[in-house]
Amino acid sequence: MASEETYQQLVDAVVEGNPASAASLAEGALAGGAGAYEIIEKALIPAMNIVSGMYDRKEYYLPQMLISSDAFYAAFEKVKGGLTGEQARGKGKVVIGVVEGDIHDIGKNLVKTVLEANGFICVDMGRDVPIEDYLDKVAEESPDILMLSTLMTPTMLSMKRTVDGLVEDGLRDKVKVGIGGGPISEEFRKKIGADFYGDNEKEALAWANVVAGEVA
Amino acid sequence: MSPATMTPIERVVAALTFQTPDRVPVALYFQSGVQHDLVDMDYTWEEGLNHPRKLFQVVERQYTEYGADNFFLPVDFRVEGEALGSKVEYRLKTGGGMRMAWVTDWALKDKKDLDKFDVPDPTKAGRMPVILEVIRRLNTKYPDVPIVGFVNGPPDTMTDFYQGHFRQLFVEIASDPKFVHAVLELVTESAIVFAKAMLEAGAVAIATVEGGMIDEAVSPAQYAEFVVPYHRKIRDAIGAPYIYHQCENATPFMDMIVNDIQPACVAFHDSVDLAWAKAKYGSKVALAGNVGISKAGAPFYGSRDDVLAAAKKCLEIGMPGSGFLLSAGCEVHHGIPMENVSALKEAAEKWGRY
Repeated sequence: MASEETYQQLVDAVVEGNPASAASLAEGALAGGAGAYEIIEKALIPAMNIVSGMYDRKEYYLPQMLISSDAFYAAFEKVKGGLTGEQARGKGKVVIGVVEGDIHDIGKNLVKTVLEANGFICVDMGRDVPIEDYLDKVAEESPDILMLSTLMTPTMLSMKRTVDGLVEDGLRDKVKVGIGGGPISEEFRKKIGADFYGDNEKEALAWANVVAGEVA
Repeated sequence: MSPATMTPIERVVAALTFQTPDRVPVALYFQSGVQHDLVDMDYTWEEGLNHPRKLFQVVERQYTEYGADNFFLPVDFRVEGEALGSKVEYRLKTGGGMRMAWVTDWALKDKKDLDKFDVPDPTKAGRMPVILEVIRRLNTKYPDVPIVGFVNGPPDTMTDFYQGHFRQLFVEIASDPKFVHAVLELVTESAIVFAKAMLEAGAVAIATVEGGMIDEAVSPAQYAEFVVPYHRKIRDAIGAPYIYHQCENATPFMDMIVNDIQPACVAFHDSVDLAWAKAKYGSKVALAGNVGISKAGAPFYGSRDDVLAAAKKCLEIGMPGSGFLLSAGCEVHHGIPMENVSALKEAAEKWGRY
């Protein structure tokens, strides 16, 4: 059990985006006898809720969101060894990335940080990610959601190939697939057999919450 | 249809200076769209971007094939980052086939090494000499067509120079603004010397883009701090018209762009209400826009008739009082049917005459 003051310091470290401080405080709380999930419940989730609210009120933008996300994960890395399998998935586990052939990752980063701020645990694949890497990661992590992004029309084909790959590897019914990015549309979603298309991070979050409700 | 009475350069200058052109000029910003031409000519991206003769052949089609009243180059974003020492790769697979260059090995990996870098010499560094040579060739063959040289927005160039792409730029903005400003000073000076070299070679205007510092990512305050002063510095230094393109929704930044950066022309996506922009800024700055090319369902993804109809609407709003150039709204990329691109010239000739 850690003190309220320690939890508040950890909340502040995440909200202010200080990864070193967040990691150190999480370690200290563990050493003081706090449980891993207790630290997440009492500090990390409340902190990201604050960050999420600040983003909604346009007090925080992507730069501040990213450093808060870094601080959250710095602390999470310290405590995750003490979590049960279910606890380590947060509200839901999301594998997210930009598809093969595309390097535009601003939209993906925005969606990821908003999901994290709302309690989802994200595995960030980065950008220009080979289709096989997505398939391997889905098999390895068993995420609830796979989210794919692209800004360019030619690389939309990579989305289709990734969804096809999930079918071929017998993974399609184990994961929900959401897609987004400038040229993506509802029509394209239907065409490739994805589960969701969204125009912005808020729509992505709303859908992820629905999925989380279904799997809970 | 009455014949043209102005050359493209006369037409563009008239529009930028609020004189009356014979018709609204078509201003195109070609980047990944040149892939169509590379395929036609059987050149790879690497060949097309690195050989002056091949790049010349690609760029001249902007005017001869697609009806632009300008030439626009470089046709990729990586020239400045490469000139600063970053390494690019040309991918030859996935999705749409070929790929333009992107940075895979950044010149600046450690902040403490920033002092080791100097402003590159545009006559020697990376592909800058290729760009200058193509501008000279275009100027010789097409003296009546304005050549618009392109410099990346300083924050965008930073992501091609400092390891970590946009994510790391945003992290540094939040955690180490002093370092960001130090990098931006260097890349802004690099942009200025490159812009001046392009103007000396024969370009008549310099265009720039903010592709990453967009409304969804940064606050107006962050835009004011990390974007505005650096573009203003370039604008003040070059002694030629500065054409400013803001990606995504420029609306929250328009006051700063128009009043603080003071470009000769602002170009924006169709997410900006052209009627609003014309009413609020149309007497202060030329506007280029904004038929719609970036989002699913935008006119450029439809038929040639869709493009003509959207262009007609833009002309009706934008052309009164001059100070208007008809433009796609963002770069002409390779997912667009190229017959849709030449529709802009048809629209300008049909409905854009003064």
